Order: sequence, then structure tokens, then C-alpha cells
Amino acid sequence: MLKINNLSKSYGLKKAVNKISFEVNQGEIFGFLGPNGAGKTTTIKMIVGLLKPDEGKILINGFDNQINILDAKGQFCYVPDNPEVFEKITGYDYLQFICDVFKIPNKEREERINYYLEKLLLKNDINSYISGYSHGMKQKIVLIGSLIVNPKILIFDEPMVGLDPKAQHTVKELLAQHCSKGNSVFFSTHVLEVAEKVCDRVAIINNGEIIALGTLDEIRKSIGKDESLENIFLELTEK
Amino acid sequence: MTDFLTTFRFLLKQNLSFHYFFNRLKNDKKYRNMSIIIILVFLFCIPSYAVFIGLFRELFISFQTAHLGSLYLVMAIILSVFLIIFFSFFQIISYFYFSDDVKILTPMPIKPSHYLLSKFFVIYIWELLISMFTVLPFFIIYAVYENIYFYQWIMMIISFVLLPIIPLVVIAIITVVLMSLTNIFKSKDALRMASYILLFVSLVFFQYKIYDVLLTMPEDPEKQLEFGQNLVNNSTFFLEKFSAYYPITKFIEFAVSGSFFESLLSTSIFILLCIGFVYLLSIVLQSIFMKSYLKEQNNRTTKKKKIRTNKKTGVGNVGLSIAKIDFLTLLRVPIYAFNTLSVVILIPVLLIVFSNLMSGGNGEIEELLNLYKNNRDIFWLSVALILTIFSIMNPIASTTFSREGKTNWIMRSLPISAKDHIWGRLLTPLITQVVFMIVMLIIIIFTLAQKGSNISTDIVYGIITFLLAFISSLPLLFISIIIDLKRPMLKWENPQQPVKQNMNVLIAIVVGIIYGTLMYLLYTLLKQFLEIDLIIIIFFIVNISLAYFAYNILYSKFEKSLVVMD
Repeated sequence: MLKINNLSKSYGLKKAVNKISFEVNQGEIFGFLGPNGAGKTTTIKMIVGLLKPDEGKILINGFDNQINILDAKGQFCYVPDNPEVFEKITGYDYLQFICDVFKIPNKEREERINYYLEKLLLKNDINSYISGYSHGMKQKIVLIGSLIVNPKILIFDEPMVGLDPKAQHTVKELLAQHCSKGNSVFFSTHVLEVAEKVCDRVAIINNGEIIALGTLDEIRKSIGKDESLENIFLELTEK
Repeated sequence: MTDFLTTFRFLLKQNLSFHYFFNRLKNDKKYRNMSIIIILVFLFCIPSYAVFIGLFRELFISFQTAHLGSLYLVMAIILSVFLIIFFSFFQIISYFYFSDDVKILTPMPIKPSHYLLSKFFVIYIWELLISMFTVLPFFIIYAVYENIYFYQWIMMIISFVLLPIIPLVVIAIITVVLMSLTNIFKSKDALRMASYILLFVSLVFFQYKIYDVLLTMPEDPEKQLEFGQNLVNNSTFFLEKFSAYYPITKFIEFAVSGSFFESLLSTSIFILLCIGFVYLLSIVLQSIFMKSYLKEQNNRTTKKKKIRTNKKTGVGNVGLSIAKIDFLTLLRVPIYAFNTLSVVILIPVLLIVFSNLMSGGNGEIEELLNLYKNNRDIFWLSVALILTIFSIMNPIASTTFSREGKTNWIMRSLPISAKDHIWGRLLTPLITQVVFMIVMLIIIIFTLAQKGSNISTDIVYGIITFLLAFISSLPLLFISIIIDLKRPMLKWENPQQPVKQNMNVLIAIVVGIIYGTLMYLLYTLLKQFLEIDLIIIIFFIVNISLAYFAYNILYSKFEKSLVVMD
């Protein structure tokens, strides 16, 4: 579903991402872990077309995001780490805009919008201007905007930040539901507990390089210790 | 005082940081290349600026010959006040009400009046910089040609530096009171916009009337004689007359013509008066502003509309959907609305005011009408050119990406084709331009009809002018979008920055001036060989071709430019 091959990006002399390669398979939830400044957001921004890689290839459902830009963008929905949304429109207008872009038929969009609004408890605020939303509400509206599209792959950068525990639980359920339909989820997180519970496979990035990749069991085997993800993460990133 | 200085230094650094500029220049190749282009654009503007200074000088010499030297300084003071009215109102709103730093500074242990005054002085520095390029040359030319003394030079420069403070304080107080009063109304943004337009037009009207009164010769023969004698013998006659309406002028008068003690005393009083006004402002800011600011913040977080019961669907078309968001944002952010949409009302209103004020006697009207009838073609071509250039002067298109700021990730990561992006972003500036052109042409046609011109002929000319200006606006709007696509200003602290402190707007204006010059040169070349009808057809062909090329350049660069935009 998502294929990253030999991807690199530098900011001046600093190598933010250094020749990383991995794959996200169909129907799986893939966690992308790493300490602050490890290269997670840079990688995600290159995948979604917000940054140009210095080298390497990104295939999204078979489309090269440097060549078939529009086709590649049609395969995913992205939620950034800081959900800045158009402030002077209502949440409902924002969702309608997303539906317009992805050409979702009118009847279907109403059903989908209502379903996710109820799930994430945002129905009462949907006709308010986004400028009046809290951080968590903005996060919810952007998440709903990505879920209503039902894309082949969801790409989230720290999706749980700002969400209350109930909403976090709902999001985890919705991600599993999304993958059960044969779609995939690729997300970065600091919350190792979430990654441990939700992800089928994880990659750990540190100083721009992938230092561990696979299922939790595979990673445990490779380092030869039967530890929690938190301990594995701390051990690998402190080296 | 230390609080004030610390915050002032911090805010000044944030707004005018040369260190940041040079650091980025050193480390960012793309920024460096773009800066070189901008510097070249500035260098290109120097000869034009020199020509303007030359014109100011010529104007002064002709004024001096007619014993109107002091009127020249009155003009400079009027210009200074006009610039402050024009630029500062929304600058104050955006610096005080929509700036992130007030949110950061409010919880800190700093007296609100200290950080609010430091914000006021940042605005003052901007105003002073604008005045240095526009108003200061008037003062220098006056001083050089009137051979004023050295101490008068010093007092004049001090007075010039102080000149923006009092009008700026007055505008700030009016703004704070207006914002506070309109807070209780439902459609407060619309009300604020209407109040500002009314205030602006009234002030311009008032200034023009004063100017008119100053120049009108009294009807009483005795007073006429006195007027004539004053004109010849009194070098500061108009400054004295104008000070009856605008007392600050008195300080300028003493600074440039008084004895050493008069000059020193008047400048000292001027300094004290400015301090007094600033103190008054600090009281207003501390009491009225803080209350209305907190109320405004409270409104923002609690503002909820009633849930709609009727189902609403989207626009359907992606381009239209983009245009809808663009238009709603322009309309709902007062700073954007004022800088982009209000000019559609403001400029025609000013045109009506001035055309009525400038109506002279019957003889003059007849003369003007004959002049118009003999040069009808060139008049309407000039109107078409001015209307066309307005399309690029209006910053809607040249800030289309910049205004998105931190939300730019949405449009950039969605699967929107280049075609939809372009038409979506073109629609709002184009509709604004069409409305502006229609309003302006109707006013021009009716003004001419009022003065006795044939309305049906003028309507035909008006329609051709509209079509030509519409077609000619397209390439300029495409170029504006290219400029902002190539170097958007995505990181800003308050919404004033992407429209008022954005170099793209300036570059677009320079492109507009170059376009205007080239079209004028093309006209002067063609008129030697061709009839006017053929010239108009050639203008249509040239502009359609330009639009085609500009669109293709924009289309081919679009998708890849979105990736490297950040």
C-alpha cells in the first residue's frame, strides 16, 4: 500500500532522514515511532507531498508521489500533528469542502458525516466557526475529514494529541474498523502504549535512520530481549 | 519603564528583525536568490523615486514663485495625516486584537499598559518609515529652498518625527472605542467595516474641504487685499491658516520659521503634548481595551450558532469550493476585508466625493467637456488601463497562498488538480475586479452625463472599456498567483502580515507599473500607424495571448511548486 525506498532529506548540513526504506501492507496499522527530532514529521511530510525528498522513491498504492502527484494524493488522507484548520468557516463547511474535493455523492456524504460526528461527539458544534473550537475539537474535525473519505491509507502525525481518553478510545476503534475494510493506517506517535496495543507492525526512527522494523515479536527477537515496547524504545534510542 | 523597553525591543525584533533577515540570507539559498530579485526590483524603483522627488522639487519651486511655499508644507502635513488614517486603523486592530503576542503577554507579570504601549510604538515605527519615504522629502525640499537656519533644521526634523504620534493616538483611541462599542452587536465585523469606511470618507472629505477653504480668495475686497498681502509678505501664511483647523501645524510653523527660543519652546511643548497624548492612550488601553479584548476572546470561544435542521450539501465543483472558502475568509477577517474588498466601495465613493468637490464654474465644465469630447478614445483607453492595473494592485490574488498561513497543508495535501486550484483561486479576485469595474464605469458614465456628455455614446465606450479591462486583468491576476505560488508568506503572527507586510504585494504592484508602462509605449507606437479601432483590437489580441501564456506557466509549475512551497 505504501512503499518507501531509500528516502533522504537534509536541512543544510543536517541529515533529517537518511536512506530509509519500509513498506506498509494492505490492511495493517503501522506505527512510526521515534524521539523528538528523529525525522518522523519530515518523513510524513515527504509522503503526503509537503516536502520534496532529496532522493528516494515513495509509492502510494502504486502511484509515485513525485510523478503521478494527483493520483497519489487521491489514495490517502492526512492529519498533521498540529491541526490548523480554516478558522472562518464552520466545521460543517470544512467537511463539505473535503467531500467536494473527493467527489463524495451528496446522499452518501450526509450519512458518513453524521456517523463520524456522532462517534466523536462533535454534532453539537458542527455549525460553529472553527475559530471557536478547542485544540481537541480541531483535531476531531480534521480526523473526521479524513475518515469520511474512506481512503486507501490514512496518514496521521500524532493523532491522539489533544484528544480526551474517550475520543482516543473511539479513534483506536475507528482505525481498526478502517483496516478491516482492507485499507491501511500509517501513523506516528509518542504514546508507546497506543502503538503497542494498536499497531500490527512498527518502525523506530532515530537520527534519521530506521533502527528497528517489524512486529513487536520480531523486534524483541532481533534485540534478544522480551521487554515492553517502552523499554525496547528507550534502549534502542539511547544507544 | 524596563517592562516597556523590554517588550518594545522584543516586539520590534519580531517585526523588523535584520538579524533574522541576514541569518536567513546566509543559510537559505532560495531565500537569498529571491532577496536578490527583490533588491533588484527596489533598485529598479530608485529612478522612478528620483523622478518623484524631482517632481516634488519642481512643485515647490512653482509654489515658491507664487508665494505658496507654506502651502507646500501644509500639503505634506495633510499627506502625513492621510497616510496615518489610511494605514493605521486596521494595523491597530490587527496588532491589538488579532495578534498572538497579546495572548502570550497578557498572563505575564507585565503591566498591560506597558506592553500595549510598546505595541503602539511598533506601529508608530512603521508609520514613521512610511513617512520617511513619502513626507520627509517635502520637509527637506522646503528647508533647502527656504534656506532655514541650522537650529530650525533640527527642530523641523524633531517635529517631523513627532508628527505621526498625535493623529496615531487619536486613531488608536477611536479604534479602541469603536471595537468596544461594536462588541455588543451581532454583525460587529460588518458594522466595524461600515464605521471605518464612513470615518475614512468623512476625514478625507473634511481634509479636502479645509484645503479648499485655504485656497479660496475671500469675497470681501478688503479681506482680498489682506489675503494678497499675506501671500506675498508672510512666508508661513498657509501654515498659520491651517493651524486653525489642525493646531499641530503651529509647531511646524515655529520650528521652520521661529527665532531660536520660539523654535525651541514650541518643539518642547510639542514633545510634552505628545507625551500627554501617549499617556491618555495608555489610560484608554488599560481601561477600555483590556475589557473589550477579554470580551472579544470570550465571544470567540463561546460563539455557537443554532444547529441547522435543513440538510445542506456542498458546492460540488472543487474550484467553486476553493473559491467559497477563499471568499468567506476574506469577508470574515476584517483586515482582509478592508484591504481587499472595501476598496471596491471606498474608491468609487472617493471618486464621487472628489468629482463633486472639483466641479468648478460653468465655464470650466464646458472646457473640460470639450477636452473630453476631443480625446474620448484616449480617455476610455486610460480608464481601461487604470482599471486593469487595479486588478494587480488589489492584494487578493498576490496573497492567495500567503493568507492560508499555517492551514496551507490542507490545500497542498489534497488531490486537487492544478486547473481546479487556479480557477478556485482566480474566482474571488476576478469577481471583485468585475464588481469594481462595473461600479467605477457606472459612476464615470453618470458623472459625464451630469456634465452634459452624450450618455448612449459613453455607454458604448464603457462596455468596450469593460471588456478590454476584463481581458487585460486575466494575465495580471495569473501573474499575481504565480508570484505568491513561488514565494508565499506562510508563517505569520497576525493576519495583517500576509496582506500588508508581504513583499509579494509590492512585487505585484511593480509588475502592474511595468505592464502599464509597456501598454502605454505600445499605444504611442501604434497610434503613429493605426486607427484607434485597430489599436483596441491589437490590445485585445495582446492581452488574450498574455493570459494564455501566463495561465500555461502557472499550470505547468503548479503541482511541483506546491511540494516545495514550505
